[in-house]
Amino acid sequence: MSIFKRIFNIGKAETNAALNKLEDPIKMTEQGIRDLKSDLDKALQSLAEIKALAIRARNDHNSYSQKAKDYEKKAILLLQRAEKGELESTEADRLAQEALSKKKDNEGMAQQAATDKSKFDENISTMESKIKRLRQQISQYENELKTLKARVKVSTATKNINKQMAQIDSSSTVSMLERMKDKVAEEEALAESYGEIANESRSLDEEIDRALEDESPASDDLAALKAKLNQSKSE
Amino acid sequence: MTPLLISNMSFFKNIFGKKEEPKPFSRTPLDLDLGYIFEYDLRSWEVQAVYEYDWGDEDFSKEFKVSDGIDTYFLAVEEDDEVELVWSQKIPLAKIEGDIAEEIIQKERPPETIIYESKTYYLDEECPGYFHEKGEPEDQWTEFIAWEYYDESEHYNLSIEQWGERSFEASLGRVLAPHEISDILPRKL
Repeated sequence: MSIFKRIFNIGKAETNAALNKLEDPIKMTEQGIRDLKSDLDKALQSLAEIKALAIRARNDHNSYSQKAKDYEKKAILLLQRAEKGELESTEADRLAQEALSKKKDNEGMAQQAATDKSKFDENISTMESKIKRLRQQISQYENELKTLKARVKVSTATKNINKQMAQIDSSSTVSMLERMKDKVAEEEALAESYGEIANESRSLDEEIDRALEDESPASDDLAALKAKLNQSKSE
Repeated sequence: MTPLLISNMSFFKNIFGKKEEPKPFSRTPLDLDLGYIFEYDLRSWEVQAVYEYDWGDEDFSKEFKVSDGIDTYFLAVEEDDEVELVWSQKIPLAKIEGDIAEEIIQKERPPETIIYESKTYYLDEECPGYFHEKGEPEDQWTEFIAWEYYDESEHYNLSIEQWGERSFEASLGRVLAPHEISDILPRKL
């Protein structure tokens, strides 16, 4: 493989990869469905054309059959007039012959229209079954797209939640709590140490004062209670 | 074709191919037009003429002359709160009991009730309006007046129209449900 071909292949692969990244599968599917609907619409227009031809063929068959009947009636009328002597026999025969000839022509055209009509009906039937399949296909794709969209929504939401959860774990929130705990413990230890140091450095005067402080209202209460006990003993 | 080319085609198609989305699944009688084909009563009907009616106050309706190759009918379509459809055929005025035309000329309005083929129809509304056939010059609107009658069930309609001083037409119709008109196929003439 020549070096240029290899470089070209690398370029092609990279471009494809880049375009693949650009492609949104949902949007691509939606466009695909739109294209299918457009195809379906064209097929419907073709079906309409054939149905219109079938309607015309039925109309032709009807009008040619009617004309054929009219010519037959005219031929009968001509012969009846000849019988009644209202028309010369040879002239009546000639005209009746013409009328019957016209009748035959119209019958032929009516027959042709009937043949055309049945051909068109066959075409309609074939096209309708194809169109039915195309309709089903589009409906199926549309339903699949709906499901796909719902799945994408769910997965995006799940992904976002998981991402947030992951970010919470990895972020400093947990470690911050740990650090807070450590800091509080540190502060508590520090306070305790200060307390101990404070107790150790008390002076004599402070001890005296502290002993005197004990004569608090609580000491009075104690004295009162003792007096009460002594009184009950003497009784 | 390489994937690259296919991707490029779709890409450019997406950008430049924006046009009105086809609606093969959602065509209604309101979409009918000249040349369109639809199914009714197990027969295919072709729209052969489109008539437009202006009833005043921005109230418009359409009527389609349709044929299946043998019979010719008229499909009136009006969108009020919902789509109203009437499938009708012309009937001879003389077949309606009484001299309707003379009564309209004399009293300038028809009777409150009329009888056609032993069925009584009751006057529902008087509708003066303008008529225009699609394809004719846009300024060519003809003034006329219609009186709409319905039977007791309101499923059958009898319409009497006055065109000019002494020209009258009558038609007998059946009110259709929108789903009765199906398989509407577009057609470009």
